[in-house]
Amino acid sequence: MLNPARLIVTMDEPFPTTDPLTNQFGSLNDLVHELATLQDLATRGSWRSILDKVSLARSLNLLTNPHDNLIYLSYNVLALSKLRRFTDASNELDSLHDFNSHHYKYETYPQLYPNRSGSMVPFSLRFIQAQLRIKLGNRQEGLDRFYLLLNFICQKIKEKECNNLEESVNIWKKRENFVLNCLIGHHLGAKEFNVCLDLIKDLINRDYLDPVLVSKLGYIQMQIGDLKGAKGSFNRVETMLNEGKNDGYSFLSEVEFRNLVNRNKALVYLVGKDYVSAVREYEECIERNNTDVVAINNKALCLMYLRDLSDSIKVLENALERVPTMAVNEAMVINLCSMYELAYVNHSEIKRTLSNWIARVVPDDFDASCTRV
Amino acid sequence: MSTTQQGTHSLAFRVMRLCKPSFHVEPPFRIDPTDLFVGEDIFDDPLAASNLPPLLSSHVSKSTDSSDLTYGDRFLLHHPSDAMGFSGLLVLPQSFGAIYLGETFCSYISINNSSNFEVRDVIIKAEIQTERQRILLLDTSKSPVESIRAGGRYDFIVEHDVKELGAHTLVCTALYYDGDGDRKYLPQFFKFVVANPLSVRTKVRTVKITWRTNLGEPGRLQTQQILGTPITRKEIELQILEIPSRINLDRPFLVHLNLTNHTDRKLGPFEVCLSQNSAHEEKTVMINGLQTMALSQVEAFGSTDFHLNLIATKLGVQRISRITVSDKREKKSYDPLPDVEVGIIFAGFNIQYMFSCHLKLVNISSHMYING
Repeated sequence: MLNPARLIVTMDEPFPTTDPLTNQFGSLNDLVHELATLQDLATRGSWRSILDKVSLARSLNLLTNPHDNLIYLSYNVLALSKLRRFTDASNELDSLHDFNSHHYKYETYPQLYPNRSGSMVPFSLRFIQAQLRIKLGNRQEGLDRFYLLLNFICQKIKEKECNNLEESVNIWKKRENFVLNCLIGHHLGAKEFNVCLDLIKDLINRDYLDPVLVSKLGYIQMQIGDLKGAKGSFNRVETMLNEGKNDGYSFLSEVEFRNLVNRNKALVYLVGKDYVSAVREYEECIERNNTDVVAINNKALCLMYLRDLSDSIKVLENALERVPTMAVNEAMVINLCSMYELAYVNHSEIKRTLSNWIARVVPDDFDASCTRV
Repeated sequence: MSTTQQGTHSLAFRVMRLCKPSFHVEPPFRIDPTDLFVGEDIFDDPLAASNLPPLLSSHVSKSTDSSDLTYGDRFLLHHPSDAMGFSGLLVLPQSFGAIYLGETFCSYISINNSSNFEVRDVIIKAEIQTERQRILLLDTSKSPVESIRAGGRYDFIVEHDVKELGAHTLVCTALYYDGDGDRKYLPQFFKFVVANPLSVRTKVRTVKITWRTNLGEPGRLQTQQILGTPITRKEIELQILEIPSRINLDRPFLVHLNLTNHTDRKLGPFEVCLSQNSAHEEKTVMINGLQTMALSQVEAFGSTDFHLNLIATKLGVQRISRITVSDKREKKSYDPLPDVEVGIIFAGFNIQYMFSCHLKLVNISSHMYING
């Protein structure tokens, strides 16, 4: 099939050029050199292998185009961040100097990207740059960067709207939503609850009447002790389920939506110290979806509050055995280790067994310090 | 393993404070593949705009399918709010934490038999020892635990309403027959300190305060009755009802106040201003407009609401100082209100994305929501 863009190029340009981005869209590898492999490694959590691959590609000069280089750099920075090598990640980002420089614009290389303009910087670099500041302990600077990023996104949205670039507008609005969610997370971690409530209510009042978001509003209200507000939020979510408002929310399957409602109910029972009813709600979730790790974990905690430490341990151990790739998350492992420390006088042994088992299963970015061995 | 050495016990207590769990929060490095595979402005190109989305969505749905045993969820966003790192997953308290007067101390206590022999007739006691008293929380004397097998455990949960400040000790004791048939006594001590959560200043006879903290954990305090010479009631009372949560530099804002007449006669008319202190310090928050605000007379036992139009001339934490009301007819000024600290922010940023400077109440605990 003739590619019209290519035709134009050969007719108008004296040199036969190939726009590496016009023959794509068939597969990931058309976008970037061996992107499919990089992506596969990333989804397996093989971040060290990614570092090797990037290093090899660079040394063999396989990355001939600026966009290939940028995207390989992005995977490299992401891998370093995942491996908690935050300083190294930050240094690599600094090597780009200025993301807004003309070096990273398509129009700077008309031979390579004819008829294309704009920034070729992958947006995640901007996010990672802000997040790294926070992970490196410069919380204020990191937050400032996130807020500045929001302003940057706002400008982009205005710009794209003026030029009637509908798809771009949608993408940049998604990015705005993403950054707001990041900010809520960071403010939440610092217990700045008023800001969180403002931001999340703002999100909900836009188009994002989203049951997951409203549920999270409920969790924040619960965290600060506003139980009435939390119940109100959860009721809203349940109403959304009952009114069948699931068409707009392609994010949530029917099962996920129902489980969300059950988990919200369970939390209300939990704060009322009715752990038996909470367990019952979580069991309903697990029966519907046995990989619902939040339900499994929280059920185990309820069992503990019911003085049944043995069963709470069994629930978590069972999950690790049954669905390791879902269950092996640091928070759940921390809970299991806390339970071991309570249940066994000589808990080091059992924790070491757990630690060894985990090491065989986990991805590179798993933080093994959570076992406190 | 039997031993005649004193101090070697088959049993040991393990204790964990059971305050409410917390939600796990950890903003992750999780991204949308669109933001990694391609340049951020590529969708300006109509060709990319039409061809990229199907490629990307087919890829994403493949890698976040729950039956796919990969770690895609640690790296890709399944739902936009995954970026918060806040899923509703709960974590157990990782340290004892702070405990305050008015809260309920709750603890999981496990007594473990780490020996190779059964222990019998176990009398377990748990008590709280403070400076003033010893409070029994649990006592199995009337029905001792018949046996705890080798490697076995006996668990219980105790609760105690904390009513005293300062040092507390949870004393756990076990009296039991060990593998050799010797009657052994095991005491274990777990110390903690109870702090004051609030500094309470009262103007009435008693104050009862209730609050909810982490995940709705309740607390309550009641002050003692305040005895002593009766305090003369103020004739008039001025109080601030509401200050806006966001105050911008050089932009007027309204403070909502109330003036109450506690006497049995009509008072006023009044004037409200921000008076100078003796040092004549420059004010950074001033009245916007006429420097005194006139208020009409207030009926006996009546009150009136009004708004002061103020403006702040400096950024950061500033004071609204010395709001003073004077009675024009009786020609007297009442004591000014205590200074109020507010945060002044720059309105140049997009107003939606500001840090909110909120007033901190005199509050020592890390977070608290006060009822009423």
